[in-house]
Amino acid sequence: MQRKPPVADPSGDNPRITRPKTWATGVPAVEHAMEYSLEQTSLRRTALTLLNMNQTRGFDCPGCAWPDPVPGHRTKNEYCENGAKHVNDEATSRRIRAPFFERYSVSELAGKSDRWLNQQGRLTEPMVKRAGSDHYEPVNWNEALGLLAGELRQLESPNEAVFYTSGRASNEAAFVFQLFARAFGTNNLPDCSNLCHESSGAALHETLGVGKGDVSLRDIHHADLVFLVGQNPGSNHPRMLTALEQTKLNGGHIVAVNPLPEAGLIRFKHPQEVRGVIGRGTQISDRFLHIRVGGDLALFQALNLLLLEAEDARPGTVLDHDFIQNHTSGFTEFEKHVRSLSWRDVRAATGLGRPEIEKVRDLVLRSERIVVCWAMGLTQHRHAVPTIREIVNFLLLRGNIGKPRAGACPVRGHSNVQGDRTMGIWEKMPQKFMDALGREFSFTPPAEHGWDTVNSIRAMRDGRARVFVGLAGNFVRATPDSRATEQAMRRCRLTAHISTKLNRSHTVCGDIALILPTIGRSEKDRQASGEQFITVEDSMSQVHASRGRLDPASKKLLSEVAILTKLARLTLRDRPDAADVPWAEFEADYNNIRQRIARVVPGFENYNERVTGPGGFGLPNPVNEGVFPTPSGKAMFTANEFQMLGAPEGHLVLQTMRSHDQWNTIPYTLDDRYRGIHGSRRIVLVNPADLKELGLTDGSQVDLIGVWRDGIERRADDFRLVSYPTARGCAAAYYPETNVLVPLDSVAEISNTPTSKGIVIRLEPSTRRAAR
Amino acid sequence: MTIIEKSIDIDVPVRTAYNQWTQFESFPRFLEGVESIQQPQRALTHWIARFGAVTREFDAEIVEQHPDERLSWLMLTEPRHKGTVTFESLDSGRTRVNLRLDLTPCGVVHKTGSALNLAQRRIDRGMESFKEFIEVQGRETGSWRGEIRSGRVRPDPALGGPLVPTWPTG
Repeated sequence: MQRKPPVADPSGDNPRITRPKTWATGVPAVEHAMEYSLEQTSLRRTALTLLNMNQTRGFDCPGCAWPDPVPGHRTKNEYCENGAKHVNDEATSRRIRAPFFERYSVSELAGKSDRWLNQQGRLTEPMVKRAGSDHYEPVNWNEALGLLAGELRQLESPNEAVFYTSGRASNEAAFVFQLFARAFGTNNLPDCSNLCHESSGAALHETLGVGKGDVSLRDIHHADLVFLVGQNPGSNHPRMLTALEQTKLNGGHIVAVNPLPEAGLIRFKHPQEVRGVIGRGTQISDRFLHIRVGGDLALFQALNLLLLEAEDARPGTVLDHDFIQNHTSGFTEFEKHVRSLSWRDVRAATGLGRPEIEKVRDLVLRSERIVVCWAMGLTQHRHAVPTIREIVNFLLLRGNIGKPRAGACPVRGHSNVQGDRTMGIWEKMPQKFMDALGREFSFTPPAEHGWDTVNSIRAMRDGRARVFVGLAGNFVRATPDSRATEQAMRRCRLTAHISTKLNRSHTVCGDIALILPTIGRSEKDRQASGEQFITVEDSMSQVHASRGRLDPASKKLLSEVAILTKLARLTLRDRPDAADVPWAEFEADYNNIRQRIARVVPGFENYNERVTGPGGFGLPNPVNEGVFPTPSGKAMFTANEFQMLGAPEGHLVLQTMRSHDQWNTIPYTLDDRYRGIHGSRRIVLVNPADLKELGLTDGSQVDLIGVWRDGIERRADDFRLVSYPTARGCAAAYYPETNVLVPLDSVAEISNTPTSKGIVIRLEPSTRRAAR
Repeated sequence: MTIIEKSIDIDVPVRTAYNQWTQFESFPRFLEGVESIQQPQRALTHWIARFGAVTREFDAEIVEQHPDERLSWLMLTEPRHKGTVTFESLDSGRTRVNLRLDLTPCGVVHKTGSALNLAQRRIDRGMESFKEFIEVQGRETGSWRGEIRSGRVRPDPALGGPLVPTWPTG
């Protein structure tokens, strides 16, 4: 039953805690998906979205980037619980109109929860908060974009502007956005990748020469062994469980490595199969390594040492010597380094005993082909890049790179995050790309590298950046060190967001703020030449088309491409050095954009023709064609200094995490049913033995205080302690509520990704409760 | 282990015969029952075949591929088997093509002699059709001259690797 947007904003003070689930999905997933969808919109619209999502003539799920099965193998219901919720959260019938902003000031809205803001519905017309005002008011598109263009043109340097992209943006919008930013004169193109898989791209590019994974769904289906490391597929990419079930049905094995024993790592009940509806489903993990937060580098170093020792015991039977000798470099240094590993250090870092790791080694030795999958549990650590390099070492040792049924699989979290980077959303694109862009549009792109997300926040904080333009996303909540980030955003002269729904980034804003509402993935995109489609690239490099089916939420909405091309025309008009870009033709017909992409981005030749075929086309990974585009032409072993996350006595290492009922920064409800949390998000999960050791009681209220070298007190207050089987010494709590604890300067080596999965905290009795 | 073998002499040079065998997408043009073959990766093929009223799909990994000599594969889907085709140059214009399938029996159908006889007849007809196809055509429809060893690709020297974005993807 459709419900009106909430007026109240419950704090979730009285959570109910139940036993964590030991299986994921099944019939309850369908029920929850339908319940949420029908709260948001009509049965007709729900049917339209769900039956068209991830179909070859339909639209791409705006949720995660997990790939679709090949055409002919897709079910009529080719989506998961979270995808269904996500799309119907977008397709909601609720609308925000001008009176809403008369009723609520920006300051009032800044006091509302992420969930409340999101639940108000779709944005329907451009809004402006003028300088000094505390209210948004309606504005027409010409004035809104003219205002933004005017502020951009008045900057002393183009580098005072920041152009942020979130992973929802299509290839077309992303290409236009980066072209606009560069034609304007800056490479300040931070993106959500900087917060997520930047570490994966850095490590894979360095060691294999390609910054993407090299596996397909078929590789996972037919692998002998799949590792799931630092990820929670049951909540964050549930359709992955279907692929993992196929691995098991084909006789493969799975090892899960995680600080939390998540339901989806234990068992999967496929809601479209009899065995999942009335049966027990499929066991996912054959082995579960209950690892300490940040212990993965030590684990893979230990596994690599065990493989070297197994080779010592049975020479010529364990390592792929032909591959190592002919196709890799750096083996000798790597071997020497790993052989110096201390098992005492491994124990301290991982919390795992040698026998447990040896059992996994035995599985590895029985497996000819191995895939390693990972997500944020690996990438958001200080030593994330070395950890992923060590995984590459592990794969290289037995030749599990560049073959079918084997390889590296970073599982990406937002539907087109990979495609946006392919289209040039990066602050330091290779010169070859910049040259091609300059040739195609007759201009000289800026040579100076730009700012990533963390450096953009620093620049706004320091007054070096004055205008922020966000293409989708919720920058304020996705980023670390919430207080520092919010102060930085508030220092801006102008912040503008191209958005479908209201979020905190609209309420924590610059002196002038613009809301530029846009159509969603599920909606029809009509331009001068007719109805358009957009294209996206999934986590396994398949590029395909997406065609919305619903009428837009409002007639006043513009597409992302239309907003950006209009803005570019207004900003760059009269500039003598302006690039030769047919912005109006781009807006009228997206084929014109794709024709230009085909001439700039390698691998996109005949883009328009190829992408309209069923399922689109795959970008081949050179690694699978026997080519390692590294400087040496070989895959690279690396010697990675041992690192672990330690916490002083009386402290814990905190990982931030999503709940099951959450998409990125937006919680749909206050529940997290797989973990048995109901009715609250201010929860911190701690191992019962740690609770005892710290003298704390399950159910008591505490503040979380971050400990960092700058001595600044970062406090997330009033959390309920929940005794939970996290790894010893580790705690877990939801983001974005705990982003406040992640120091801006606490970043991963090389990738500069905030270390949101490894924060040292201490727990103190709740100051808020004490004050009551 | 059950072996099915077939040899046939074809009136084209070994290079032509081999090159044609690398063009998997063309197989449905002469192989009875095969509806389509895709090659999502150089060392991986996906087959859709029809057996009477039943449509089956298979994934096969190419584990060895050596120009003008040999191609071996491993069927990853039931019924699993290994196969090898070798090419012998008889003279500058004639080639002997030898096919050998090692079938691991699985399932009732594959255990019966009649099923094996059916498979043998299909192989015989397929090889005859291949001979007719390439002899009438007189030249290959395409080629890939790279190598595959133990499932690992060595690219075609004339083509090199694919040109795609290689920069880090976050």
